[in-house]
Amino acid sequence: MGHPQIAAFARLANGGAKPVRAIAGQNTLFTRTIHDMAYDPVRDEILVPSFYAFAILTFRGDANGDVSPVRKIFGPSTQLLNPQAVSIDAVHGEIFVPQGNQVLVYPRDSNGDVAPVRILQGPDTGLGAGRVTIDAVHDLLITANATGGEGGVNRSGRPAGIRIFDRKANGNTRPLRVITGPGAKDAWLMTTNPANGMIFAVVRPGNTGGPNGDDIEGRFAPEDYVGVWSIFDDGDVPPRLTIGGPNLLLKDARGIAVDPRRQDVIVSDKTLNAVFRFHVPEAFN
Amino acid sequence: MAHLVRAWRASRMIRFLVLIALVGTVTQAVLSWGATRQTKVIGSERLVSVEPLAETNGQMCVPESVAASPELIASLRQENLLSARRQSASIPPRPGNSVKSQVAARKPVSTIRDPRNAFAGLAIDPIRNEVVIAEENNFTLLVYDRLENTPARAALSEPKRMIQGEKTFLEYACSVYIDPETGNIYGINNDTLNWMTVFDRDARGNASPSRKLHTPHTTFGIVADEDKQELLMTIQDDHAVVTFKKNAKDQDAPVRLLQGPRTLMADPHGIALDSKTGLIYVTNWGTNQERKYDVPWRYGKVNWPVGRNNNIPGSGKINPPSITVYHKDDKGDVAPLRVIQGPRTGLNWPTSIAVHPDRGELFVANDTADTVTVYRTDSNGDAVPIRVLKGPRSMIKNPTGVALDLKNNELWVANFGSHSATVFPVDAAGDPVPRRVIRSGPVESPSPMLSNPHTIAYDSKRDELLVSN
Repeated sequence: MGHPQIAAFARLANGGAKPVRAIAGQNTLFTRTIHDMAYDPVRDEILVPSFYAFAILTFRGDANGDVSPVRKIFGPSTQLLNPQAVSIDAVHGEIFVPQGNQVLVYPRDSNGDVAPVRILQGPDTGLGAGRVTIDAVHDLLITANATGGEGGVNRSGRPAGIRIFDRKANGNTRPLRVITGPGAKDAWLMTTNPANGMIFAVVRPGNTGGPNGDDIEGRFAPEDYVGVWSIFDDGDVPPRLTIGGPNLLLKDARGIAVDPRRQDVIVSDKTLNAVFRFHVPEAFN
Repeated sequence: MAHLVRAWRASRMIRFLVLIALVGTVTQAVLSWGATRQTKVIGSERLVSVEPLAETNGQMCVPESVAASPELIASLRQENLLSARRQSASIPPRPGNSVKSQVAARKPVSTIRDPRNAFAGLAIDPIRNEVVIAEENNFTLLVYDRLENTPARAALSEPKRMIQGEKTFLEYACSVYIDPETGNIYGINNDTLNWMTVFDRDARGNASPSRKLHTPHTTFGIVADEDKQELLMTIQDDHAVVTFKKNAKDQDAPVRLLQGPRTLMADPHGIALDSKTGLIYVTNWGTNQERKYDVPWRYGKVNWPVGRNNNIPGSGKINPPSITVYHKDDKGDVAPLRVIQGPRTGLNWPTSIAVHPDRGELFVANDTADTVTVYRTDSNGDAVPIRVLKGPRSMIKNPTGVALDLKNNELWVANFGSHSATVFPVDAAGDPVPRRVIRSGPVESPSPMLSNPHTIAYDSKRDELLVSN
């Protein structure tokens, strides 16, 4: 993967469309393993984790080319460790970074060597936090921790599932609810639609490459899908809806976004090297 | 008669005014009756409906000079929704099976995907007159005739052979090496599949590798030391160079490891060996971090790099890009002999490097500068390139691979951003027209450069989709 970038495509882009712009280059401080990013509609900014520099980079929303971030959370006080995911609470102005058994929280305006204002961690949290998303309307912090196809725990031995916390949860706090079950334990990237309280999560059951990425058996089966849960779901419940599969299209689903105005769900697939847009009004009503 | 007409007109006007007054009175009565009913309280207050808010694009409406206002307005809008939604904390009904089935089977309405091959890295086989290209979009290794030259009016050139399919263990192959003796092809996977794959020269289609070697995650560059029959590889995650025996396979361990803070490696990519001097050159993008090194060998394999699980929180470093120089036998935490680094170097995401021992020159592909920069092999510090290839005539666009044909004195460039490989005389400079071009798509076809598209986000202000590689 020789060329990290963030490319912006028009909403109706299709086929081998040219991006309308792309952020890439030495000044961006991008590295490989951009496994999550966030768009802040209030500030019109893009947040990107830097996996090797241990930084959270913030760019202008209209950034284009080899540009520097306008802010970066970076330094020994940050406690950042190979960050590969980030989420923004645009309403309350906070940045959330899931990091294994903890979630670090920073004020949106943080710049430089800034300590987190809150850290969610401890045995009662049950984290694993591979990914995090925020529902600012219902005041919820939602984490996902996928198993990677190895039972009830993930590759690091942390419990799998979608955990729903109070947005301001701090320290060793229990989740309000935990969604378990075959879909939730394989949930990776997520987003929410606060208007109807739905969680959209990429679900990757089956073989995801093994502990060291060496296992290829069944690796390319179209088993993946987008699962939709309510923020009020709790316990061993299947997704309310599945999108793009299973056994339809998605082989190695990765990113997830929603366009509530058009009632569209957008998902990327690593193996297919593609980005798909599904029109799913049922998920937004 | 005129009097009668005037009277009739006046009478009609009076009747019209009376009618208007009557309608107005009735309307007021109806409205006031409705208002009274709307505010009538039956039981406790309850939320009846919530209308979705307009997009938070306040900057379209508020002058830029009032910097805080758009944010404040947008936040307040969100807060309105927030207070409304807090009252609706109930479990919505689950959709029926029919709806679930329909949604699960629904096809996408649009698909962003580049169907063309995206050239990432390449190697030249001057003995058999072939070039092998590692391709990231469709997970292939492509073999072309060395003298292939896509005609200007042709859409593309078909490869002589193509290795592709689930049995190949190829995924995001970024570098390739050709054994000069056998013509066998060695592919390096940069992500997910941590294998170096070796194919017989004539392999094609969904071929299984004749052998494969477990390599560290994020292996990027490869170069062979033919004298010692060894393979040297850069490891991005571990800021390291590992060396394997050339015939290593399966779970064989490396024979040497170059890793540690003194090496100054930082996200290493390309690697080249000067067969005359025995020096290796490593290109670095510039970011790294501190980690604990006094740990047991990973997987129980001697010389396996110390992994990122030993990284120290908050220890990230940001350095300028560089070329670090070592002796090929260096191992452990060894400082480079020289470092080419600084603003005058023109390095910008230096992704691939090749060395011409006879000319004493280094060729570096700078991805986001759209350049190939050339340095003396004995350069040091903030060295200015002795030549730069750049410009629209050169067709160099996001170069991620560079290779030298020492027999025919040609420079090859893989252009990830333009579906092309371009060939130049080894002493080319400026904005030269390529001597030959191999294209995988029409000249004007756009290149989205999607490669391992991972996270996506919706930019509601511009109605755009953000996609990261």
